[in-house]
Amino acid sequence: MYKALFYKEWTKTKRITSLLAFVFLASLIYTFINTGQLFRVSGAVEVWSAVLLKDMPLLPNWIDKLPLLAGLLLGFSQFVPEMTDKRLKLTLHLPLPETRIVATMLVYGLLVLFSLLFFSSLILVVYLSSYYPQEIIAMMLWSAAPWFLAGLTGYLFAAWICIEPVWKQRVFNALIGVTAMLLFFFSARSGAYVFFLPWLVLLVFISFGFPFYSASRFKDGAQ
Amino acid sequence: MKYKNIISLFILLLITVVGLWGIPVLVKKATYSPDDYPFVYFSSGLKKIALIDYKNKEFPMSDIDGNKYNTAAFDTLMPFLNFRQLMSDGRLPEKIEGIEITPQLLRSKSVVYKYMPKYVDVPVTGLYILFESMPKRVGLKMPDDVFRMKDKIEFIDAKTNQVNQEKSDRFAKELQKRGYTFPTQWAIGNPNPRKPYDEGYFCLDAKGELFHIKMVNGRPFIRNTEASKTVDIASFAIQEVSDKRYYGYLFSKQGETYILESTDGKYTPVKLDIPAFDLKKDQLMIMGNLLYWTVQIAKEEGRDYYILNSDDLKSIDHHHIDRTGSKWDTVSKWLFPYFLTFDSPDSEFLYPRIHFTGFYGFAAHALLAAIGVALFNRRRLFSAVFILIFGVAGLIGLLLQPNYRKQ
Amino acid sequence: MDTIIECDNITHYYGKRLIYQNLNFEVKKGKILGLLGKNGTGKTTIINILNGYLKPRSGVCRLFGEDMEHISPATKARVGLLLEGHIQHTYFNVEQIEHFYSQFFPNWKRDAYYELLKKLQVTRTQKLSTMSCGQRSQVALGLLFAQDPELLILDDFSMGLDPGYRRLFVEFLKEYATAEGKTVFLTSHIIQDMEMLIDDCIILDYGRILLHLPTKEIMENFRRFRFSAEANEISSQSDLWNTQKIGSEWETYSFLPTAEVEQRLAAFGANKLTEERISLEDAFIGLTGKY
Repeated sequence: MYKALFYKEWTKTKRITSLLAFVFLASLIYTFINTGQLFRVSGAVEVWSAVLLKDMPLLPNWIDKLPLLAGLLLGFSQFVPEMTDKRLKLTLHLPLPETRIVATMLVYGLLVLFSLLFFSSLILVVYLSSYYPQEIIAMMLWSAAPWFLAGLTGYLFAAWICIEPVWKQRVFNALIGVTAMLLFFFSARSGAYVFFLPWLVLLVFISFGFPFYSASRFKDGAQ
Repeated sequence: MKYKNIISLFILLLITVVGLWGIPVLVKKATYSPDDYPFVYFSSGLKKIALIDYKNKEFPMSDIDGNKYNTAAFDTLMPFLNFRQLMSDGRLPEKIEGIEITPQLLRSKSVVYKYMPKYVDVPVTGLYILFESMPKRVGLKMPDDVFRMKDKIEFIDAKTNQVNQEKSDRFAKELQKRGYTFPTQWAIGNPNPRKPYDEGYFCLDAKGELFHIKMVNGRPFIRNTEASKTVDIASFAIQEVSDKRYYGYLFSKQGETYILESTDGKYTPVKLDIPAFDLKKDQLMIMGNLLYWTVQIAKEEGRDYYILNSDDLKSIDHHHIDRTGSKWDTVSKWLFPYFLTFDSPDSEFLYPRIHFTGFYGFAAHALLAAIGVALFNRRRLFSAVFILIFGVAGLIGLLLQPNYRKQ
Repeated sequence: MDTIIECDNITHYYGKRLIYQNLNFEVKKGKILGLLGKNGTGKTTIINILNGYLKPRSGVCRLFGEDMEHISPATKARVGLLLEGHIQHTYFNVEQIEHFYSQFFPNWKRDAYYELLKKLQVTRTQKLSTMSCGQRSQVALGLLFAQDPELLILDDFSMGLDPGYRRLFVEFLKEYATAEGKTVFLTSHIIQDMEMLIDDCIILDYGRILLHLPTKEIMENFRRFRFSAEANEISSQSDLWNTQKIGSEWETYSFLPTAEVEQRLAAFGANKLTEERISLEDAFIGLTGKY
């Protein structure tokens, strides 16, 4: 039965997932080309010293918002169709406990998102390891960690906002979500988030509960 | 569904936490102005501490007794600060306090250094760049490798991204010979090619001993400074000063400041005759010349200025200026008994920090709680207590909750 | 007889607007019950409350004896639900949606679904979102038949259907319900075709139940009476429904025998009383009024 739920989520999201996979791949290729060119033009010594002394980022600067974008798109592609014509009623009517139905849908989204992020990072790390020593790569991962967490949180917020049945409350939730998202995107030097990450991970866990709250309001028929 | 109330409480807390950070940020933007302190420097002409206000074009300088001096007097009374102006006017004296002076001498004895807590509280990659200290050609050149120092010393060649085993072994052997113990606590250098010479790195080893590591003609130069015998070392700041009198500044865990003097190949910590300061919160600034060092310690309550003799670093004068504070101080005191920030001027790290401003703000919270109770028609006691604790953020949190406003 | 649906003292408001006050009814096993009412009388609201998608101000509904807010998965499996507008997951195609639902119900009757769909001009890979309203309704119905639930809850199934589809739907439903002793609870605001389908009839007015009777009883006893009268006004009489003047004639509706109606109206100088047997739709209008 859970497999069937996954099948439903996949049917809804396969297009957006393929699109995201393509965008992630394209961003990786862009990063590879960029890195290669940087090393050819400036030379390894220059690049390394710029990274170490001037905290030059290894990745293009727009890449920080990519996981968030992925989370939001995935969340919307999963839950907007559920809210169209209130189809969530059909979904919740399936012979499974409602909490488990919602949890399965969320777990599906988180798994897809996590896989996208994990495999992209893996490819990135493998590729960049031929250019940079491990300390620099580790620092890059520490810097990227809040962006990844922003993606997961953004996904959960998107679900929370979508499932909320009352428009006014939806706007409030969106405002809260946007403000909370700022926490992941402070401009700071690499590695600045190290001690903040546990708190952000905690936020991911807490926001896993939020869509259930919306679903519960949906069930009560809040107007 | 189960746990609905707990989840709604978590949502409320999230809004509140974001509010405890966001609302003060906005209020601060609207009310904050930076502290306005005069520039303080010791006048060798007056033998007195003087205050300089560069915005005052006619009488930029006044002494601590309140006498005012015009620009020409300012130049002459502070020859070390203004020697370039004096030179171009042809007014540079031949001797100051009996010492024959030249622009070269003045330049070489001039010291500017600033300590901020965030220089130390900063993420480190664990990779360092070591220059050749005796380059064959003029000027320092960026090396082809970097080194790691945490658990062992290893030089990594940038072009190949491979460990240069031979060079690494050379340094590792020398470190071992000199009694260096890994893992390294920290390594401080100043890898900037635009400096007159290079002193490499100062590293604190696992046993808390401070080592000087540099590269001379490609060979390792490693010395135990033995500074830990006299100083309980907290941190170090390297500065390649022009006269090569010392290697940099050494701070003890108690907050005392030393310079690490270079005497015949020995390393001698010489204490500055200033009180200890808080390395995590206070800032220190040194402006030194041939005869006097003006050392400023900036604390939350105000600034202290200590005038030291440049040769023995003994204090000869002291001045204190209270912080005047800005609108933000008053507003924050009355609006927020406490608030949250994620960044700090004292650190390069981000994480939640709570700032207490005192208990006045709870009066505002009580007022808001009363308003809140009037606004809500359910869970009144909870709302009142919640707003009393969390203030504006709490009120907004409650207002943004569904089913909370009056129907 | 088992009680399948039970509504106990349901009171609900939208904001300040009363929807019902103390609504009570039951549906017994094997019955087809029609909840009829004009637009806005709260037919869909009752369906939502029944399935736990709306919390009423007070009162409780039970499906198979389970409280509406805590319906167990096992009970959900026994209930087939058709939402107003034949809502389904339209991002699936004909095969996919069958495959999806089949995983949830052990007694899934795949053939029932494809049997029904054979009559439609759709391919197996056609997406539901590209179908007409009528085609979608057949898919939704087919899924319900394949699920083979003990209780069918159909919310306004006739909405948006052309007469052919509606008739098709009704026929299938009738056959399904009578053959296997299933219980059906449906709402409709189109009364045509209902008389051949529903056993029991609840007619809902704003805020209350107007009538809850077997359809047969309504069809046999409820009549329209036309008459002339000298009086210009006829005060409202109990047991006479919607008495009103139409042109020079009067009409009224009643369950009473002709003689009794005549007697009641004598006071107003009524004469030339004629009685007519009427369709369920006319009965519905007679009970609820034209506006």
